[in-house]
Amino acid sequence: MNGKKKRGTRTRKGFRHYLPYYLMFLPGLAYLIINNYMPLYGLQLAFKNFSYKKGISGSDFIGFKNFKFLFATKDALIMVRNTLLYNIVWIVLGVVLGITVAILFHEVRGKKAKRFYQTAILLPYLMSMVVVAYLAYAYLASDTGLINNSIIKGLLGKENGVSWYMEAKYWPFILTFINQWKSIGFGMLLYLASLLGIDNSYYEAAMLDGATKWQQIRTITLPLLKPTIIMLVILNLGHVFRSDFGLFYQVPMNQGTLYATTQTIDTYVYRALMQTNNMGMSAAASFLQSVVGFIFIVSANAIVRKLDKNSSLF
Amino acid sequence: MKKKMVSALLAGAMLASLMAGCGNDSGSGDGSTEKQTGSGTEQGSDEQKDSAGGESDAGGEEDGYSAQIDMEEEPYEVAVQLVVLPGTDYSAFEGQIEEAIDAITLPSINCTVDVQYVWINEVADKTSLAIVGDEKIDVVSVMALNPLSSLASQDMLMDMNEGNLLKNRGPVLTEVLGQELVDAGVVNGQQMAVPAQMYSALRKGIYYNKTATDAAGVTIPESGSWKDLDGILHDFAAAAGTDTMGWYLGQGTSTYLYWLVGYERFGTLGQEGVILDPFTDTTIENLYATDLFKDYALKMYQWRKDGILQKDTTDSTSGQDYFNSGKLLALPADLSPETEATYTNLGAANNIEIGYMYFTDPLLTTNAVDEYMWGIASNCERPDKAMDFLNLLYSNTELANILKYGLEGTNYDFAEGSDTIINTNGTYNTAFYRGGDTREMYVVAPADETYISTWEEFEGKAKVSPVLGYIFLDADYQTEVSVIANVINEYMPTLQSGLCASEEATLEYLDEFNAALEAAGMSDVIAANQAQLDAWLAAQ
Repeated sequence: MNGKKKRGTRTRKGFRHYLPYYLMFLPGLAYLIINNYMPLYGLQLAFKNFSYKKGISGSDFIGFKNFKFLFATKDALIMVRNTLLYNIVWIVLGVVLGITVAILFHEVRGKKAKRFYQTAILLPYLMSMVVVAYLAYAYLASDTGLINNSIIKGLLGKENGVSWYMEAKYWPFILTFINQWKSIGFGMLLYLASLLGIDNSYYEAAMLDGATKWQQIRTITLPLLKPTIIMLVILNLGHVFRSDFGLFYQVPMNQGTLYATTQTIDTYVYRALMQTNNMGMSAAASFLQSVVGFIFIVSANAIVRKLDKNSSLF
Repeated sequence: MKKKMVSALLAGAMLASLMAGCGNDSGSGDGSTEKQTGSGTEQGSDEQKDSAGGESDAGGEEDGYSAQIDMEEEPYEVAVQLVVLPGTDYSAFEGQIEEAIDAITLPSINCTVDVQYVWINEVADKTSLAIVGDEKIDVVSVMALNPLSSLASQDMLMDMNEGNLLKNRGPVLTEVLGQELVDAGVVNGQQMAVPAQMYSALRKGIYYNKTATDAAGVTIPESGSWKDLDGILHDFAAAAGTDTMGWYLGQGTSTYLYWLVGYERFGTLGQEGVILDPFTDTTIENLYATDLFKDYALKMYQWRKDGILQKDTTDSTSGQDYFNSGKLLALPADLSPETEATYTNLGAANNIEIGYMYFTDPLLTTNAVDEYMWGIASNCERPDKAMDFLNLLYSNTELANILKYGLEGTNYDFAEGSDTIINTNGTYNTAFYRGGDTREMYVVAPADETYISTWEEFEGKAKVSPVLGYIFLDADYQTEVSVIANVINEYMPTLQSGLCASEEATLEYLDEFNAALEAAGMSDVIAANQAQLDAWLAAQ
């Protein structure tokens, strides 16, 4: 009895102690509920024949019919393949290049040089995709582009340039290059923040033991970066069934001839529904993306937990 | 332990949301949505009818809306969509224009007007978002980019026959437009919209830079077939060199063939089929499997090879911009006295004399009438007031003139010695506005007093399509239509821009295109469309 009383007093004291923190948490909680959870109500649209007159709850339930258009033709297979493959390649590349650049950046000692590199590498991340699309066009345009005019015709002396916007085979490389060029600055920053948190004494001890730079990276930097890498990879896997609409729609200039390598689920949905404006089908596509992302996150986390329990997210 | 709890809570929250989503919760208390849907449900309609019916003893429950306007009640604000060019901003005049309109509407129909300027590229999205979000919207601009078939299929518009709304509150509108035109807004027995323009007839053709053809010594006949363009464009290319493009297709995403041949199309891409010659045969076909499209695709390949088309298919400059700067010979268009006046004015502003070549006679088709219509949003609180506004628009010329031309002294001035011919100053361009009794409205110089009679004569000569007013309801075929649209978007730009390596490659690609259309369900959609059309024709 006495013990229970004591525990109750301790809980009340604890609550009073943490009250300011709970209050600070409230705006964030409100944001999460309003922005992330309340819209979940609209998920039912994916299973309904939405009528503007009947509203969301009054529209007729039609099962999985709204999902059918996502799997109706061979285009569906291409778009799923493109979406998944691009994302997987970019996640791997993002990790490798992000860490490499972060380590190189970490070694730069001059303050001015550091500022210059930081700005230069982060600048593309801040650019709108429309601007990026026109930059790419300035390089790739068949008649006026820099590559065809100055390099292929000018330097190599060839008579005809490459029709970049008519040949689908070039676009996996072009899109990968643009994606990495644009996102590497931000990815690097995340790894750099973790690098800055590593105690210098590890490196000093390693140097005293005669470790080379590569050995220091392999045995100190990478193991200590592991939690950050795992967290970022798992979070990125949540977006594995989504694509950057601007990158896949604006940059290839919406050229039909390039669809084999530029069509992703987002561009497919946009092109298909531009004509019908069907809310239920849009909701179905979005719902499927979320479900696939959720499955990927949970699976990846389960694998990580099995390998190393402390590194898993949840 | 904490991790497990967080996981369990998250999973529980998601599961609960999903269950909520999948369940049939028609009885649940969804405040905002139920409020929106209220106006469209039978109960909502009855309430509206009650309120309308209670305004006067002239009406009654059986007759629906009263024919009398209640001038004693609190004035209702009617929100009217007005579609304008992308990038335009009329906020500087909006207040003055609304004030001028209110000065007419308040004493006439006891309502004020909120003009909602919408860019044409956003009209479909803004309409659907406004209706689903229960935002204030009453009168909707129905047009090619905000099509009647889509709006009607998804219940975004109100049936104007409900409670005899059109009959009791829109008699002038019906009288001015005529019953035949008004019937073009009937979908599945419901009056979902009314045409906006009195004169809808159009002829297919091109407008061209006559200054350039005269300089090159090339003569273009006044009429002919689109295939005659072949010789004309080659002659022009030989005479004028490569400085001026013969033909421009942009990125090839719109089927330019539509402006060259007078077929009725279903869907802006013809994704629900076309009727090639509605005056002789009402069979719906797949446009892309016809000899017409095969000839067109081969011709485009030839034109690309011969340097008639623009070189860069990624070019996003508009054809009109090229034309205005003298770098493009011709553009296809729907031609009428009205559009010709517009093109002639545009040409004059750019020191270009405009010539016209016609490929068809004047035609009054469903596509032409559907181009500009008015609808009443399904979430409109007072359909009677929305209809009052539309009715007044066709009986009060001053109101129509303000919406179309803006304000005298600010946006236009009268030509010397005239009270009907005006000179606009370019500050208010409502290129997509149609509405009002055209016969009584102002005319923009350099057109003169003969303009209206010319237009009436043109309309009188128009051949009326036997399928005028037929709309395909594609609600049961949304999946197929979406997939077909995607296939067309993928294949058509290549064929239309003549990008295949040879004639054989073009034909192979065309076969592949049609196989993909078949796989997407084109035949099923066309069969359903034909069945609906046959039933519609039988009911006429």
